[in-house]
This record gives sequence, structure tokens and C-alpha cells, in this order.
Amino acid sequence: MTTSLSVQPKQSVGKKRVLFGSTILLVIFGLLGILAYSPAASTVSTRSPLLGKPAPNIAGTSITNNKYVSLSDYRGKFVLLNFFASWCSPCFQESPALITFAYDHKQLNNAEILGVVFADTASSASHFLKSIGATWDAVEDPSGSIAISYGVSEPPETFLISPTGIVLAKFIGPVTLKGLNNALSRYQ
Amino acid sequence: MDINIVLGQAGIYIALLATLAAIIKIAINTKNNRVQKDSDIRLSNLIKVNMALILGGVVLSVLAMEHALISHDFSLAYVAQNNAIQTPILYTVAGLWSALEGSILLWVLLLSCYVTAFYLYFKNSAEPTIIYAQLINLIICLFFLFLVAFPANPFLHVTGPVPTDGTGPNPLLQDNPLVAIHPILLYLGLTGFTIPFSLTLARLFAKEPNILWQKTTRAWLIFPWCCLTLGIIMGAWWSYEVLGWGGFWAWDPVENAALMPWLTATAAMHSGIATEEKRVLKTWTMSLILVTFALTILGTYLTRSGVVESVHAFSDSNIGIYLIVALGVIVLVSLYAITFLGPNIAEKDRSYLIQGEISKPAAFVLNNLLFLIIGICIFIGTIYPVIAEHFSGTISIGPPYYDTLTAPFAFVALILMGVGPVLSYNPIKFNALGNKLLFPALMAAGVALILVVTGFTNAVDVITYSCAVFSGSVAIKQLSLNFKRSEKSVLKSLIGRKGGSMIAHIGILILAAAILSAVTLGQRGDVSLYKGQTATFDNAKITFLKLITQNNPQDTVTEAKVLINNQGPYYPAITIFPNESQGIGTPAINSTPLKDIYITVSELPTGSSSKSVIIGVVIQPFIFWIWTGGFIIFIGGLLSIIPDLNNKKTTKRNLTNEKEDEDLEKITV
Amino acid sequence: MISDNFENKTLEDVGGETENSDNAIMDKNNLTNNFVPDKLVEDSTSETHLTKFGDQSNEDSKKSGPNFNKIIWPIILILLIGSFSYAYFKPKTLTDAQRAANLESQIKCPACEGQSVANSTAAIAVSIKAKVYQDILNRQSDNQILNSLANTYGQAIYLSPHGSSAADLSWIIPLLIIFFILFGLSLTFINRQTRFITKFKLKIQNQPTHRSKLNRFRKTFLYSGITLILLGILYFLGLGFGLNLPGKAQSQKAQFTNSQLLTIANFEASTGDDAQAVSTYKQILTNDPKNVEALSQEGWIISQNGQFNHNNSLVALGEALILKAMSYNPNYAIAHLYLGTIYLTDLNNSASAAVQYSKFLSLNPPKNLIETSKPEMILAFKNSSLPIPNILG
Repeated sequence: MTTSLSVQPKQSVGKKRVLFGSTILLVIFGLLGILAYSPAASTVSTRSPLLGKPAPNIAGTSITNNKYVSLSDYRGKFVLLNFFASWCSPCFQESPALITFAYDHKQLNNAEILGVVFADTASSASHFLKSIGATWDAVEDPSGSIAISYGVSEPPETFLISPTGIVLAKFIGPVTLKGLNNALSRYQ
Repeated sequence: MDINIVLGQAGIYIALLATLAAIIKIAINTKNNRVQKDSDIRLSNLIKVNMALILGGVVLSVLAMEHALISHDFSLAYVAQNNAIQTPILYTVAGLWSALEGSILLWVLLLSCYVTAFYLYFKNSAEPTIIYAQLINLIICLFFLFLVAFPANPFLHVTGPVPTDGTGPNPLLQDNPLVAIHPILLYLGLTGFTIPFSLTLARLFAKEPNILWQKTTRAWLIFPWCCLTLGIIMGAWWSYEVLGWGGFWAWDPVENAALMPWLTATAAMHSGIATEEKRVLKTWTMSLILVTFALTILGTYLTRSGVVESVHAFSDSNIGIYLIVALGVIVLVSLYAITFLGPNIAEKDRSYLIQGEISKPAAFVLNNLLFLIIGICIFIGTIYPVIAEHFSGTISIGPPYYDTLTAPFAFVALILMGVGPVLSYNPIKFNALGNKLLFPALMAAGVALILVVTGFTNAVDVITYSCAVFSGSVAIKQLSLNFKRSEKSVLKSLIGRKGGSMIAHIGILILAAAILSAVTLGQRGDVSLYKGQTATFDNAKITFLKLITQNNPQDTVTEAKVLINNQGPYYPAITIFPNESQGIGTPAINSTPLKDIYITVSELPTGSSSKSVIIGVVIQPFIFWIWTGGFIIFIGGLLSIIPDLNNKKTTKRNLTNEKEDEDLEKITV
Repeated sequence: MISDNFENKTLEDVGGETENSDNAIMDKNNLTNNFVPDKLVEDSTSETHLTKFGDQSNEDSKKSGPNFNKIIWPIILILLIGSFSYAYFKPKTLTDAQRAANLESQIKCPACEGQSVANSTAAIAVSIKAKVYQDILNRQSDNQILNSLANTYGQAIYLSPHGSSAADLSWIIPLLIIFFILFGLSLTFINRQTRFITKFKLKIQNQPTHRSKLNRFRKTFLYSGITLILLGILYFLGLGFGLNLPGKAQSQKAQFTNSQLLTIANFEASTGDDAQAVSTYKQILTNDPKNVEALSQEGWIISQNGQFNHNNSLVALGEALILKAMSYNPNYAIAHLYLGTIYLTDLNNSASAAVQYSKFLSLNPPKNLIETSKPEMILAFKNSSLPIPNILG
């Protein structure tokens, strides 16, 4: 009796069943394939919806020299809009690139940098700019409304704005001189 | 060479080799069906030494890691990154699971404990099913040991000189003692699903007809389920106590990763009852168990590969691809088994399902569908952003999505909890069901009426409370029937499936009502206070006494001394790190069974502008009952498996008594 | 999946299940234990038939006492449904803080990992929360607030995905799967039942009728299911092509009643936000073109702006709007006041102004209105050398 039990009658597996199983298999393997080729979420960044659109205007008193500055005054030149804070170490990291960029293009008179203070006090931000040797103007943004109008999440973020006031490129994280010049030459 | 590194590496390699050897031994012995013919081949004869070496090796390397952590041996890269000299002892010990490599080591430890327990329980078995199951267990063990030995090895020497002090664990991980217990419970749950998985696959592959598969699997499924339940609740508690926003569940991908196997395991437990008692829904229960295990591996992948955006995720690592491959293999094998071997497992009697009658199996089917639908919604919500990334722009899926999709089904499940227990395997007439549910429904209607008449008109809460009262009174009635049946002994009536499951039901109802109340009736706001001032927010008096600032080399901790309703003092704090804009807030909580008053420091006075401090206040009712509900479910689950522990190890069906195995019948056709 | 083996079954399998569960004990406790299992009894010729039991059990229930079911259950259901729907439909007004909290939980914090701004203390989350509250105070609708953020941060800012086809798909896929599960399950039940009856030649009265009935039901079910799916797909396609179908998300402002909108517009006018106020008045007028109050208020604001900017055509437009309001309701006092002031100060026509003012005073206007415009009125009457009415002192 016991031995006969272990002999199983051959079961026919229905066509429907195989079809169902293989469909599920395909779907799951497709999902797994996509997962395997997905980059880490931390490296994914959204394309800014502002690209190709007019840059929202910025106006205010510069923290470096108390002059009134407005983004529209920069028409005719490329503008590098740099969101920064004194507490942000990548902002310090990118400062040499910005300094060199500002110096080079001051000679050519075709591009300028405008800083926007992100979640920081005017005094420590101007102190930070002095310490890195920055000569450009920077405006305060105490309510964060400028940052929101540009879709900024965390400093440093940098926007390249065309002489006609169109947002051309967005850099997330510290910029490099090469990256900036590449972007500029592409649109010149 | 460092002693901790040598011992740790040695332990892993010993375990790895022993596992490999055990797999080969079993494979050779099962070849040509030798196991079936030769009844002398028992697990204990085959792999006794190997099992000792596996457990010994893994324990050795865990001890080496703990020793390295406690003695602050910073020559280990893992210790240098996750420990510092000032780290308190509790968080030093918990350092084992505060980063990726160590967490896999803990996983391996718990997995090898389960596999050893399985071995000890079945060491005298010679059934092919059991031997195949242990073979599958060992293969899974081998995979995780491989991860610990190669891509995620925690016993690596630091590159460069040995630092004098480490960086310490993530500050969030040294804030609350729950960090020490919640991961262990969670992993006990997740690793535990390995055993039901292997038993199921073995049952399909061994084609051994007269085995009490469901009876054997039950306890191995319910114990990890209990641990997972409590682990999830403890995790929620930890988020509540630490993260500082007053919530406990954020539908974060990592939280979902733990919830998905919980849902399918819950479904499998329920349909398993029908399988055990009436041998229906067998293939279905098996499929659910296989899915549960695949989901635990998917969860491990999501948590450790960095593809999803999550606060709880480990740092990015290179083990993702191994887990994806493993998951592919598991899916392939499981689908093959269900598709081609499933038909061998015949159902005893399908008339229950055919006619869609009001009977217990029908209730289980409905229950399973609800859990499955909720699980599918969560699965899509978790995976979809990753998929969509490839085809269109980035999209986010967050709490509003999950709430909308899952809530309706969760409510139906709550009602079903009241209907299911009163049904029997005999189909029942609609009228009879109406009679059985008359009193509970009357209670529910009464509660709804009283709530609405007294002006409480939050629709979601009214529905939740009346569902809870309905199903709760059914559960209590069942318990009292159980009490009468078991000669009026409280202990006897609570132990076993009938008692335990009803206690777990009551726990779930408490949990559901508490969560809904906290979410819908919670109040949050800010109060701005000067020193010595008192403000009232939603009937809570908040008095701010003073600020205590402590400057440490790596951070600045500012505590606010606050009285809540003139009790206290409470010390919510904010820790500011030099390179961050946002401080990490440490909340302080005044917790009572009725409501929790949760305060955080939102904003410190900024030098010149103002001298007031802004204190965030969250007041939520019944938070205490969320944790209590979790404990009750845990206890209920454990009570329900106690009789299984006393059962002698019968896996074979007693053929003289019960001549009704499904496969047997098929042969006689 | 479960159905494949059915044919392999013998009839022995189907019947003869003796119920001995623990529930039997419970059933004894139940007063109305009146049901008999729906049993399939095997007879000698290996055919099965259903034993009819329905009538018998009904008799049992009659014996065991009055059937409370038929009285109490409807009452319970009415109570439950009544309370739920009362609680659900009772109008609830959200405070600004509640609206803000609700919105904040739907916005993803761009600097965080999958958290909403409500749960985050990151600098940008704090700024976004402040902006949301500001926008709410500025009477923006929920959609306007969310859209303005999505315009700078992208669709990923929505935690409840919407606004793109990928986002719509994230809702459609689970709903379709749920639908297919429920549909497939019901179909399996019906298929089984049909097959069960045809296979075992059950001795049921009028068997062929029963079978064809089932078949017809099965077909109806299948076709109606397919139709439903097609309709659903068409609906979503329609939404995708921008058709204005029911259920499409509407801007919240459209949901205000005209009287609410008037309050909002008057508030906007009082804070000096003339452009916003005019657009709100325009919105009222699209709902109700003959709204006298909106017409005269809009005319007044426009003419005032015209005077300020020395734009006579705007003044004329304002005047025209107020005259239109008067044509709908000549007895609306405020329109006469506005028109008078326009004649007096913008057009320097004291005589016409005095006519309008005396009309205004004759309509028993509220005291405070008279007080605020007293100097202009006296001036108008003086300039046109008419007697100053007593009410002006």
C-alpha cells in the first residue's frame, strides 16, 4: 500500500494553466529587469520644468554692497544664478570654479554671477562671500519665495540664464568650471 | 592581523563551507530517490556535524563583530563607520544592525537559527519532503552566507591608518532603545518565512502524498508572522518617538516592503485554516506562501539597493544585483512548481467554492482577495515610480495614493472579521447568518447612532468605530463560547487557534480604531513662546521655561524645558550639525491612554530678531492603543500556536484512522 | 487555476462530507439553529441531486419563535446607513489651518527622501509651508497652489500623482487589476456552477431551463463586463483628450457659491487687489450675468482705476457696467451712489450726480454708506444749486 502511494499518476497540465503561469513569469521578469537597470534614487534628478521658460524675476538689495539689484538689469549678458548658504559645504567646494568663471567673463563682459542666499542670514552669507573672495552681488531670500519660484531644493543649485532672460540650464550640486563653460558655449 | 577580523572571517567561511557540504550530502543522498527507499537516512545521520558548524560559525562571527564593537576596534571599517568611543553601550551592541553589512550578518544569524531549529525539530525524519525542505533551507542559507562572505563582508580592514575614533552611527539610530529591538523582531519575521517557503516547495517537488503539509507548516508560518507584526508596530513606534513629525506610518517604500509579506502571510494563515481542516484551497495557500517569501526578498532588495527613495533605506550598495538574480530564481522555481506540480495537489472538495455559498471557506476566499488587492495596490505604488522613471518623468507616490486605494478594502476586511468567525464549513442560510449577527450589528448601529447624535460627525471614524464594535463583539462572543467549551478554564479557552485568533482579531480592531482616530482627529500646530510664557493649544497648556544649549565638538544640542499641563518638565531638543540646514529634532511626549501630546522644538530664537522659541505641538488621541493593539496581536498569534508545540512530530497522516488523503483518492480512481 | 482538476473528480469526493466542526456546539447555543447543510446526496445510480431544504428550514424557524430578522435587520441597516451618510454629508467647513495641513501632506518635500513637507523640517519645506499658507490667505484654490509648485518643481512634487499620463496610469493599473480579479472570480463561480450542473446531470426541476438561464446569465455577465471595461477605457481616453467629463478635477474656486464669491471679491477689493477682485467679479458674472451687485462693484472698481490712470475709456466702461446693473434692478441703492460719485468726480457733472444721489437717498440706504459719501453728496447738491436733503443734515 505504502509503496503504491508514492507512484503518482501522470497529471496533464492544462494549456490555460501554462499560459497563465508564463504570462505571470514574463510580467515579473520584465519588472525585475527594469529594477535591475534602475539607477539609485539618490542619483536621479528631475528635469527642471523651468528650462526654456522666462526666468522669474528677482529684485532686492544686494547683501554685498547694499545696491538695489534686479535680474532684469542683467539683460544682454548670460547670468549664472547661484543659490548658496554659508552652512553648506558643497557651496564652499564649488567656490573656486565660480570665482574663476566670474573673473574670466568679467574680461569678456558676457556673463555675470548673481547669488541668492538660501535659508541663511544676510550677515553670515555676506561673510561667506567675502571669505571666498566673491565680488558678485547676492540677494537675500528670507521667505524662500525666490527658491520656490526656481524650484530649488537644497543648495548649491545654479541656473544659467540667457541674455534674453530664458532659463537655459540647471546644475544640481557643486558646479565645475568645465561644466559651466561647456554649458555656456553650447548656448552662445 | 586583528583577532576580530580573523575570527569573524573564519566563522563565515566555516559556515559557508559547512552549508555547501551539507547541500552536497543531501543532494547525493536524495539522488535516485535513495531517501525514499532507505528509511535509515535521517537528517540527523546526514548533516549533524554540518548543522553544528553552520550555527557555530555564524555565532562566532557575530560574537567577533560584537566584541569588535564593544571594544571599539576601529581597525574594522564597519566599526569605524558605525561606532564611536562615546556611543552608549546599547547602541554599540545595536551597531551590528545599523548598517548594511552588519544587517545582513544579523539576517544570516537569525536564518541559521531557524534552519537549526527546523533541523532539531525534524532530525529524526526521513520523509523526502522534510529532507528536501532542509535542502532548500540550506541553499537559501548559502546565498546569504555568500553575500556576507563576498559582496557585503563586514569584516574588512580600514584602508589607511586605524582611526582613533569612529564616526558613530547615524544620530537617528542612537536616540531610542527601540532601535535595539525593532530590527531583530522584523528580521525574525522576514527570515522566518524561509521555512514555510521551503516546506511548500518541498511538498510540491517531493510529491509525497500522505504528508500533513499544512499542519506542519502552520506554526512555522505563524511564529514569524507574530514577530513581523510586532516588528512593524515597533518600527512605527520608533518613527513616532524619533522622527519628530508625530506620525508613525508614512507609506515609505521600506515600510511597504515589510507590510507586503505581512499581508500575503496573513492571507495564507487564513486560507491555511481551510486547508488544514477541510483540505480545500491548498494550491492557493501554497501560492500565497511562495509569494510571501518572494516579497521578503523583494523587500530586502528595495531596502538595500537604493532604487527607491526612502528615509529608512541603507546606503547604496552592490548587493542589489545578487538579490535581483535570487529573486528571479525564486520566482522561476515557484511558478514552475505551482504550474506544473500544483495539479498533483488536488483539492478535497470544491463544492464550497463552486456554489459561492455563505461558508467559512468562502469567507477565507474573500479575505484573501481583500488582502491580495491591498497588497497589489501597495506593490504598484512602491514599484511604479521606479518603472515610470524609465518611460516618462519622475513621479512620486505618497500617502494620499495609498490611503485612497487601500482604505475601502480595509473597511470591508474589518466587517468581514465579524462575519467570518461565525461561519462554519457547512453552508449557511442567509437568514441564519442574520440571526447570528443580529446582536453585533445592533451594537454597531447603536454606536453609530450615539456618535452622530452626540455631534461626532467625522464619517471615517464613525464607520471605523461601528465596524470595530461589530467585529469586536463577535470576537468576544466567540471567546465566551470557547470559554464554555473548554470547561470554563480561562487558560484553556485562550490557548489554541480558536482563542488565539480571536485575541489577535481584537488586537487588529483596537489597532485599526486607534490608527484612524489618531490620523483623523489629530491636531497639529505651532506655538510661539517667550521664556516663562504659557500658551494653550487644543486644551493643552504648554509652558516654556528655558533653553539649555550644549556645544559638542560635532554638533550643538539645544533643549527646551517645557511643562505640559503644568506637568513635567519635558525636554524636546534640536540637534544642529555644522553642515546641515535642518536640525534633527528630538520630540518629548506626554503619553496617556486617551491622548498623546507630542512637542518638538521647531525654531530656535534667531539672535536679534526675536527671542521667542517656536514649539511644534501634535495632539493625537489613542496613540497608546496602537502599540497595545500590536502587542495583543502578537500575544494572540503566539497563543494560537502553543498546541502545535506540544504536538509530537507527526508529519505523516495516520492512515488507519483517516483514509482520505486527496492523493490517495486519485489513485483509486 | 483551481478548476482544472474538476473533471478528474469522482462523485464520491463531492458528497458525504460529515460536518463535525466545533461550530456545531456553538450552533446549539443559537436559538435559531434552523439550517440543514446544502448536501449533495449520492444515490444508487451514481447520480447526485440536490435535496431541497429551503421550505423545511423556514418551517423550523417559524416553530422556534417569531422571526426578528425581518423587523430588526432593516432597522439596523437604516440606522447604520443613516448615521454614516449624515456624518458624511454634513457640510463641514475647513479652517484655513486645516486646508493648509491637508495640502502640506500632499506636497513632497523636494529636499527629502519621500516625505511630505508636512513631515519635514528642511529649510525648503518650511518655506513651502509658509507659501502654502500665504496662498490660502490670498484665496487661491488647492489646484492653483499645487500647480504653481509643480510649475517650478515638476510633477514629482505631487504625492498623489496627477497631471500626466504616467500619473493617471498609476491609478488605472491597480483599478484595472482589482476589476479583473473581481470579474475573473465571479466568472469562475458562474462557469463552475454551469459546468457542475451540466456535468452531473443534477436532478433539478426544469433542468434545461435552469441551464439555459445560467448560460444566459453567464453571457450577460461576460458581455456587460467587457462593455464596462470598454466604457472605462473610453472615459480615461476622453479625459486624456481634455474632454470635460464628470469626475474631472475642477478648480476649487468654481465650487464656491456666488454669495461666497462676492464675499471673497469684496475682501480682495478691500485689500487693494483690484485685478484679482475684478477677475472674481467676472467669474460671478459668468455664473449669473445679471448679478447686480457684481456688476456695480466691478464697474466701480474699473472706473476708479480709469480715473487714477486718466483713462477715460475705462471710466466709460465702468459707467456702462453700473448702468447695466441699474437696468436689471433700478432700486439697487449702491449703484446710484457709485454712479453719482462717478458723475461728480470723474465727469464733473454735478447735476447728474445730484439726480443719482437723490435717487440713492430715496431708496433708504444704510446709514454708514450715507456717512462715508456725505461730503461728495453735499458738494453735488451745492454745485447744482439744489436744496440739500434733510438726511444729510
